[in-house]
Amino acid sequence: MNLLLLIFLPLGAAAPVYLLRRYWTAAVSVSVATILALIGICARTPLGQTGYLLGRELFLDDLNRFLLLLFYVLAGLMILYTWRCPQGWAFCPCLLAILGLLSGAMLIRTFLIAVFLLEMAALIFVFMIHGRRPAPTGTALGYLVPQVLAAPCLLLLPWLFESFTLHPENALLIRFAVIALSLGFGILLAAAPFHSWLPAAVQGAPPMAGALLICIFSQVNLALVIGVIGDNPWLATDAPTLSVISTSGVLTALIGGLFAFGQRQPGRLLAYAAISDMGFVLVGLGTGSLSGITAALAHSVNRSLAVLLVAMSMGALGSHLKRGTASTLREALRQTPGGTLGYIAGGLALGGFPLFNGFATRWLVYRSLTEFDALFLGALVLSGVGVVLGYLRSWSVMLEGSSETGEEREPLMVTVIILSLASLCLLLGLVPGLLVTPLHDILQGIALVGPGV
Amino acid sequence: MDALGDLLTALVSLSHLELMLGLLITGAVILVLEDWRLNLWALMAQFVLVGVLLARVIPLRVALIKVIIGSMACVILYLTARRMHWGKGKEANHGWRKLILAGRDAFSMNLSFRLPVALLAAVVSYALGNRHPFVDQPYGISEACYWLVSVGLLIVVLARDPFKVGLGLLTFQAGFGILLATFEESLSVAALVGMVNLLIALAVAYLTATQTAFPAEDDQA
Repeated sequence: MNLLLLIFLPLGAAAPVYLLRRYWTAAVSVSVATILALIGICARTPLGQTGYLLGRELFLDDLNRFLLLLFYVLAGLMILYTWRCPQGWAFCPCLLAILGLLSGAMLIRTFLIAVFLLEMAALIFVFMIHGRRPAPTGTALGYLVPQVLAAPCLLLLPWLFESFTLHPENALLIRFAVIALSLGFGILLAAAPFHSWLPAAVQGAPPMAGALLICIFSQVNLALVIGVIGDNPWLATDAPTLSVISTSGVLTALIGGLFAFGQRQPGRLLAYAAISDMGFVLVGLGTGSLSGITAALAHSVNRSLAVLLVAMSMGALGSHLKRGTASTLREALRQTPGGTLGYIAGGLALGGFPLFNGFATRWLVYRSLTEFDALFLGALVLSGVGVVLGYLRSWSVMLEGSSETGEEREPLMVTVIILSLASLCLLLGLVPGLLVTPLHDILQGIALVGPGV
Repeated sequence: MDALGDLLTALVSLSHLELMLGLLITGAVILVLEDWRLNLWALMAQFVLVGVLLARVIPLRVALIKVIIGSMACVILYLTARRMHWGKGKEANHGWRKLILAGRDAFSMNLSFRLPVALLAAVVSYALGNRHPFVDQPYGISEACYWLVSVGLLIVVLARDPFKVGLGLLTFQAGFGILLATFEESLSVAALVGMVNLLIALAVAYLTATQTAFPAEDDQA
């Protein structure tokens, strides 16, 4: 029952929140109450509890609970932020509906149904792309088409797995399975060379919608990848899946870093920085070892925090920094203290600058590589440098401000949320064990190849 | 529901060749013609033909669900196009000029490109379906699947507006739905495929409405 509540409570709450959209504070209050209820239910549900949806089993394990709690907290922060910086009428109801569907995708054990739920959540996201003013239609279509095309690749996987179980001698099935897996998840995770939809979507959509795409959708996809390989160990042992993931990871990190260096538009820069970070995550995952997977997941959590921080700061600077009034850092700090500090801290965290959380988990990814991966190491370091330099270059653009600002000063609530997130990024950078140790314990049984370094 | 079932049962008597020809024509109409009414009728016919094709290999009620949900997607798109006066700007107000312009606008500008591409896709689909069938099913399941997937992708690639892209995506989904239905015959999966199709139609309707309502902002952005 509890597991069904995690799916149907946010789905059910989406309708009243939509109806209350003209009474913004009431809509935000209902949304926050729903998120708090979800956190309570998820935290109190005993591990190993099962339920049934469409006749298929739902199951709550350690990793699911950790990730779901993370999603709910991130979603709660997004909703609180939108209270003071509205992101369009559709944001709160769509976010709740998406949370319900993604919870279902995480909990359900049947991969086929999980992919359907994920696809539905991705389709609902289309309604969030237009924020307070319409985004270019090309942006929405550029997002919609890859999502629809990726799903069939993943929906074929269960049939291919079943066929392989019946005909283990058929090497062609292994090849098809790896191709389908790489194509499907490659598109959804925006891994190179299928990354081009993400920068356009993040630039065109409101900042919180872009953050949702990177912070929550990517994590669910990642959890599904780990689940698929864990359930079908032959993908790691008999097929070149892990080497495909590693190679794609290095390529993704490198392309993300290089493109981030060349970007001056903040939305695109954020997306390329996130793509570069996804490369690190994939490299860690591609090692197949316990230390590598732990590093990958920890880095993806840190990536979510840093991306949310940058997106919130970007939104605050865009909404509250008037064009022509803040030519110096001091003036920007006076008008938008949270946005200014958050943008600097988030950019450094995303680029893996020492002392920030991005550095700590990047270091873990480097350590999980074996001695033969010097080329990988060089490419990864280069990508991090590209992101940091990209953020330094973008600073002048952010200081220009916007001519469409509403209020002069940044609201206190926004400042508090941004500074709290920045402090958390710094804390996790100084004490990475706070995140890595619990994740390591959770992942004990999930090493795909061996214990690793 | 029973009447629809009877209708589908009656249509099952269509020969394999007639069904394939029907799918070929409907796919080509969506790819080549620009008139939204013709496109929607072709899409509707395509859903019915796919349902008839599937009724030979999966339970009738599952095939029927696919037809009903396909029709609902068409209704959503029809209402959106009507409400937004889709394509109204291109039409002349009266007389013989209206007739000439309507006839010209029914065909896309690059007809000489689209028609050969559609023919090529049909030939390739037929060859692939014969040489590399996805499943050991008779009745041209693989050919139909290859054709709808390829023509759907072509429509998406060649389209400029969300309405046409939506038609392409729904055609692509119909093709993939044939393949999926032969692997997974359960009612719940058919319902989920239907929900995905409905969400695609809703998303396309929303994007079409936004594009029509805010053309200036869209151009500026």
